[in-house]
Amino acid sequence: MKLWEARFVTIDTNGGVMGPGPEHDGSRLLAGMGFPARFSRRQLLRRGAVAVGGLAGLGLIDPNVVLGSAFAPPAPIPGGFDTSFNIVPEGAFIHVLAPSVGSEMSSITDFNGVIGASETQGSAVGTDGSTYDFDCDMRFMRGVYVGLDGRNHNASFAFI
Amino acid sequence: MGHVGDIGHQSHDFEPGIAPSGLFWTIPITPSAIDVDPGRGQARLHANNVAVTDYHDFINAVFGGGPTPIPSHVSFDVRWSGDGDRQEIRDEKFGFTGHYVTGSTTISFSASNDGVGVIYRSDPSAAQTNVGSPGVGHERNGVFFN
Repeated sequence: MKLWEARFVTIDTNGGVMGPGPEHDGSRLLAGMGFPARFSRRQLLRRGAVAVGGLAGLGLIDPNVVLGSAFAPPAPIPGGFDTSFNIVPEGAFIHVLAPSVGSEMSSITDFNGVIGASETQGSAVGTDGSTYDFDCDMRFMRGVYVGLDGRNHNASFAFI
Repeated sequence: MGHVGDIGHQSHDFEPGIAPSGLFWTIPITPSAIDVDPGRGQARLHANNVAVTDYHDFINAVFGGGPTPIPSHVSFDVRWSGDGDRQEIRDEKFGFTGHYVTGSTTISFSASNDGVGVIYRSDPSAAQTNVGSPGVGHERNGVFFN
């Protein structure tokens, strides 16, 4: 769920700031996924210097709350975006693709089940009177998957 | 509405985070959060008071180095209408196959930073638009692709 200041929404994917060209236009796809369209490779590299620490500090909710102690996490899809934001079928840095039929909508691999995905944009309001534009990439996956433990499991997942 | 995407003006980014494995923004959820009829392309994803983190913006969520992430909670109700086309897809390059029903979706949500009184809610009086082709279906990938 992404909220932007409502009066400052911009449309700007020009300038080739990301991706080598239209055939691999990661910036356009990212923008379509609610990701920011306006940041440069320089910005990415600068922020990438802290990526390892940042990723290590991120965590999921306690799955045992939902699934019990036998839960084994799924593996991410191999594809997504590389560090230059090219779309790649494997070796991705960001393991996600567009929530649109025709694209790999699942965020987990070794999966066999039911899936739903969507990206919705609209307006939001805060109880303090603030106004925003929002973009929500929401997905679900329910079915069989191979966990990181190498075993088959059956569970439900939400992509928020 | 056009793309929302100027990183300089993003204010909130509510997500579950990225796992050390690289699993992206994906969390286990109780089965009752999902109501789905894949044959008709209709579905509902709904949950209340889900613990997430507000990373402020996408770059901070992916790379860190920005504002301190804030523990937060979100509630949401997403509905897939199934009013579109049926599609069969087999993608050898990305290794997935499935059959889907496209259709419009809508969402209502609320989100708030823990310990802060402000609640952000989707505006039910405002129009919503979808990006791309939302859909519901059966899918296989990875070791289940072939």
